Amino acid sequence: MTPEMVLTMIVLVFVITLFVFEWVRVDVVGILMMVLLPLIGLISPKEAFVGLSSNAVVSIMAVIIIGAGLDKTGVMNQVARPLIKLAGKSESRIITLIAGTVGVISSMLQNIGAAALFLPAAQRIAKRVGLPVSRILMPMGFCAIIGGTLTLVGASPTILLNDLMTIGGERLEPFGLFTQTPIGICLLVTAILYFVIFGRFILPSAGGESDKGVTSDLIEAYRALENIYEIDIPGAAGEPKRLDALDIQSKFLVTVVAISFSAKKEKTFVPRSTDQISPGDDIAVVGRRRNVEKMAEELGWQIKPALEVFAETLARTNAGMAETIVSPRSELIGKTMSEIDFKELFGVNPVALFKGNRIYYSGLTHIRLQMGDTLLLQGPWERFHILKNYPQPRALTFSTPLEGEILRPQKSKLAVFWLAVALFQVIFIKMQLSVALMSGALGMIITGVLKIDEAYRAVDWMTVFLLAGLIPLGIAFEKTGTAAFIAERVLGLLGEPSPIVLLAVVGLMTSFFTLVISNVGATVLLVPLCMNMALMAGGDPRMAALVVGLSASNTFVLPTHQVNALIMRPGGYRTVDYAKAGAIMTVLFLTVELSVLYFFYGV
Amino acid sequence: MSIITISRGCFSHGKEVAEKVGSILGYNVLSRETLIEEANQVYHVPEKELIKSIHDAPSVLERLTRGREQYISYIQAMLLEHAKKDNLVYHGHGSHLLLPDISHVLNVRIIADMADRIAFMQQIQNISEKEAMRYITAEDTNRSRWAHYLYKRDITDPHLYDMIININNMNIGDAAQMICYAAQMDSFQVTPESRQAVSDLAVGSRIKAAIENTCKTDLKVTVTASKGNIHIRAEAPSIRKTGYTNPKTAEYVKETMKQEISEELAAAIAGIPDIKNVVYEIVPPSYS
Repeated sequence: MTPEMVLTMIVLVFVITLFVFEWVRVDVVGILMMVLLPLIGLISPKEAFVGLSSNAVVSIMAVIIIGAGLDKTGVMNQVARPLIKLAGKSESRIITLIAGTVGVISSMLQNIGAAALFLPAAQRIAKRVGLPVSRILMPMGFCAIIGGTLTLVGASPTILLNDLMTIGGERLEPFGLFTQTPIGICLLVTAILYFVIFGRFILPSAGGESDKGVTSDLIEAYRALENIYEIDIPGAAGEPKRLDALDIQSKFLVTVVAISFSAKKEKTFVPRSTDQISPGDDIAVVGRRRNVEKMAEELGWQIKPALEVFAETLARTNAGMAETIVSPRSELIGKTMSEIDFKELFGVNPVALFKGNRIYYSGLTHIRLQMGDTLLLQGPWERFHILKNYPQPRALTFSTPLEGEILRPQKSKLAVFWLAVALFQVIFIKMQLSVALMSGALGMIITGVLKIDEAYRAVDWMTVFLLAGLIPLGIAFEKTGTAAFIAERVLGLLGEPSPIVLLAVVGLMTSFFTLVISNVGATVLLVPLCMNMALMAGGDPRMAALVVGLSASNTFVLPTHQVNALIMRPGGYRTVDYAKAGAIMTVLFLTVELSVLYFFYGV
Repeated sequence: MSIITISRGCFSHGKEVAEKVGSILGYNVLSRETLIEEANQVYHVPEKELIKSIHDAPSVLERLTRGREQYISYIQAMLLEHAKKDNLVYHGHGSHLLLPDISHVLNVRIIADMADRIAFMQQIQNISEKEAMRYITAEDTNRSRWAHYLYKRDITDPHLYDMIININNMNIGDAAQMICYAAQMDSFQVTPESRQAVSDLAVGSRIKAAIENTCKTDLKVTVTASKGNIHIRAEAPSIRKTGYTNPKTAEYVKETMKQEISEELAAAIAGIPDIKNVVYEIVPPSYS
């Protein structure tokens, strides 16, 4: 054992201690390594920062920017919408569609983003078909994690592999973007089958929390407005009538917030008093359930059990309610809403006005506004964001946080185009991953899909520094011969295992480590070690690295991993539910991963 | 009008003294067993777990899952319901730790010589001296580890008590007389402030118990109450990244979870009387 090896082992023990006890955050451990390793002479100062320019770090930045671009143009929503419509009423179909889509999306984009995007939709579908939401959310969450194994850039551990694959000073052939895809697909299919077949036995049937947000809080606060209802105007409802002639607001204290005209096949989200409602149309209203029922009965309309026509457009992700206050120096002071044509000007629906000690639900537009009057507005989040971005003095000040953001749907084709350009380079020109992905990201910025500042803000600096800091540690581990040294000792203990048995041990070890420490940390520590072990046992070191990278996503048992944490409360899960469903998933994951490697990767 | 807590090692005649004090003063005598029965009925948790929670030092797993704190909060909530009514003698180890900082509580500890304890145990249970000694030593270690882990206190530390009685030098009647005499002193009488302190502690522990009973166990909850104004601090555990995360998404996840936690807490404490205002301090999960 050389002095360098002793030093490396001391550093390794120190790093593992920091990872396990979490006295400092994992990315800080990364930065610590960048500084400590050159200081104690284990690597040269130049090598200390190679992580920052590594393929892994640049790829991860580019992938995140591409993801942000797709997000900003609403491409994901456009993908989600038709798929959700296909779901129908069967439990297995819903699980397959939602979990499968989330999995596929996480193959290129951040898994937590995919899960967060589909969470409200999954809750809504569950409510509509009367299925416990807990049956859908865990399959969705697990598939989001597994989706990360579909491509090399799906999760941080696999992105890292190519930068760590050096053995005895020789670089191994790097993995392609889709080298691991067959394994990922099998894993995803296994997970879906697992939940479709055994879901009802292993998942609790708790209702969980419903699709709540700022809006429902506000509605509770105003009490009178309990929900948004969709109403069908039946064919037998008589002649078309103008909204002001129906006088719904003052008669029933109900506000019409959207109309879908069947004849014109158009929808309006700021209905005007001059709009006509004809038989066959659908409308969305806000008001107390009692009042809505009374109105429907009197006018011969039908309340639908759930939103259908407006299911997407009025979903929490797209539209909602905001409480605003008439600002000091506001242009609205002293005027009525009808005088300034409020709906036309702002594109949102006034639902209630809180003035002094009274709440007005009807005739709002004819009340003269004063500073401090509170207006409850309904409309698309996008309109609210525009309103909020008005220069000072703003007409209205927002007293509740806004959800959603301003999207650029007109750029969605460009976003998809640049993703395709990046993928084309990877698949057909065999361009290095980081260059190909960065060119896609750059294309998005140049064509205005995303502003450069938005791109900078989207980057996950924690992961960047974690990767950049730990890569030098991996290099030192290998370069000093420490990895080979430990590998020899471990193999001495194991005897002479066949390559597949060795890979099984590697997979098990990684799955265990990734539960206790950060998945990237586990990868950096295990890849050099396992590659050496594989080489000594006559196996393929690249396959050992791949098993480590994939098994680092085997995180289903604990609710502390972010996707699991996100769905815990909405799904009404307890820690034991993860332990139960996750333990089986963990075993399935390893079995499928190793079987595919054994039969199709020539192990 | 006061509350007396009697803490003791096993087979140190604590129960007998407590019962005697109760009969002299006409106070209600409450034992750990009664509290456990009540907690079992109110919170629907197995008695076995409740007994373990107030008796054994937590295992490594329980330290991680914080199961113990949950059960103790039920027992404490039950004890405080009795404490609100005053005129109470409670005997059970750690009793003074469950009723902290109340001026009309007289905290007594009864100690006895090992030889006497062994003899007493042998007399009751008809076992060998060696067995009795092993049991008592194990029990003492267990209790002290329990208090050390949960309250960071050494239960044999005299500073924790108002009075320590060595039962070897007197009979049970004398010990009880001494305690009754002390309990009637002005220092241990109820004042408006001390009554408020009990009532605050009672509502606080009831809220804590309700939260522990209905919310997800991953939350670390502290409740303080002052004249009906409740401050609830709930800390979510740190989470680990399963992949890279856009900061905006990370923020969204944190905000969503914060919202869900506050709704969960509000639902848990709904219907508890004596709450005037509630301030929530929710620490969303951070990345580790």
